[in-house]
Amino acid sequence: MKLNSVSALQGAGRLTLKIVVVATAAIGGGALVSSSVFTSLTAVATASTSVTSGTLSLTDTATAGSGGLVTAIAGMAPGDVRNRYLTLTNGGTLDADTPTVRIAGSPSTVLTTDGTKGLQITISACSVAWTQATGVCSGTTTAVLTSTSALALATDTALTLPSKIAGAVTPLKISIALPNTNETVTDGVFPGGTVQGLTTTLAWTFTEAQRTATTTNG
Amino acid sequence: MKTNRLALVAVLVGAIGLAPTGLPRAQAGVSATSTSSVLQAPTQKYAAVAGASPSATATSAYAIPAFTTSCSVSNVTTGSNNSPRTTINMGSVTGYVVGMKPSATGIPATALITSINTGAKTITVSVATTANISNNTAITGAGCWQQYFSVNNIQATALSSFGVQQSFSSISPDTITMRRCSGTWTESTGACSGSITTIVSGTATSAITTASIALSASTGTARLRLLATKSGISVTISVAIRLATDIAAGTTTNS
Repeated sequence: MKLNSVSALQGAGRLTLKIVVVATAAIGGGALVSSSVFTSLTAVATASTSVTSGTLSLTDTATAGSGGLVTAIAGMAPGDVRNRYLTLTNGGTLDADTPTVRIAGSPSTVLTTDGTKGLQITISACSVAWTQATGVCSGTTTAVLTSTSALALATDTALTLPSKIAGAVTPLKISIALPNTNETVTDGVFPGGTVQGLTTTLAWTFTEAQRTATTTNG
Repeated sequence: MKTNRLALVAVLVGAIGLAPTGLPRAQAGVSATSTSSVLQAPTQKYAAVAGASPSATATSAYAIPAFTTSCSVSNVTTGSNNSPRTTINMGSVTGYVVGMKPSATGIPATALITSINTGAKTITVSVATTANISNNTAITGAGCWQQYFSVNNIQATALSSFGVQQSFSSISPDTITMRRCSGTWTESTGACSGSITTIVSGTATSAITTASIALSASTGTARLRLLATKSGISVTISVAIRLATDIAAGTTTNS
């Protein structure tokens, strides 16, 4: 019995020891683990890059002394040509590409719906300012748009500008012509589809796209 | 079923999301536009009509009233006019007009006066004489009927000329002649204060013939004379303005 008592006491002591050892190990291990996280090394490199996007801007302005494209044209007769002058400016910071022009006529009349009898548009550029009094270019002339009917210009039509770089300023001569025609008015009665006595307001839209996007290394 | 639809939608969304982004540059990039407008004032109008008076504006062919006015005149010859000949020397040609039927011994009945030389005082006939005509022989110009009409510009644009057509059933061998006077007609007698020009003459409907007479804008008018060698003819006059012919050439202006 005594022996059994001693054994019981020894058993209880071992259990207590085991508990202590386990607890110590748990606490100590956790402490060791936490200590290893908070003490790891970190390296950071920083830089600042400024990125600026370009701008694309297009304006058309009547040249001084010209009605440009905003002043009414007096009554046109077959064979008449009215030259108007304006400055087309690529005022953005980006070079442009694929410039086009489009005309919308309102109301729709033979002037803009008949490709033969209707208005014909020609656009020329001059490397220097046009001599407006005579319509002469004393520099180099560029055919920006060969004679094209207003009908065809109902859709965007390519222009050949001498320069499309940022800041390019192009003096243009816009020639608006009413072609000669064989129309006959008999006893005061106008024929069907006449070009006479018509009024159409022309809305002009010049458009340019950005230059081709590029990938650069450097 | 609903599950299938959802699956289809999902597939489409996925396909769109995965689609290549190779849009044209013009659509994918930026573009700039500049717009302006111009008012196109009315294009010109051109028209002229024929009518009874300078104020006529009716837009239809003009039916000439009956040729009721007869004109007849007599002058005497001068010098010797041996036959055969077509040019006859006259002491005066006053009152004669082309188209008249000259009547005298030696002049065939079918002959008409075809021209008059007021300076030389001669008339030319269409058929040669068949007998000598002695000095101081009266030649009566007869068989002429006349009527007048006006061609009026009814638009606000000047005309440099106009086309005119006289329409009637054939009256061959008789004729109708349209004439202008550079001055003023005395319509009761057919006299002209200036020179006379024949615009068109024929036995039946004419082609559209150019009358080189300028008509000023809005108020321009020309008084023309129709001379017939017989009466009772129904004639209509049409006026044509041909843009390729009757208007001033186009102009180029810089403004």
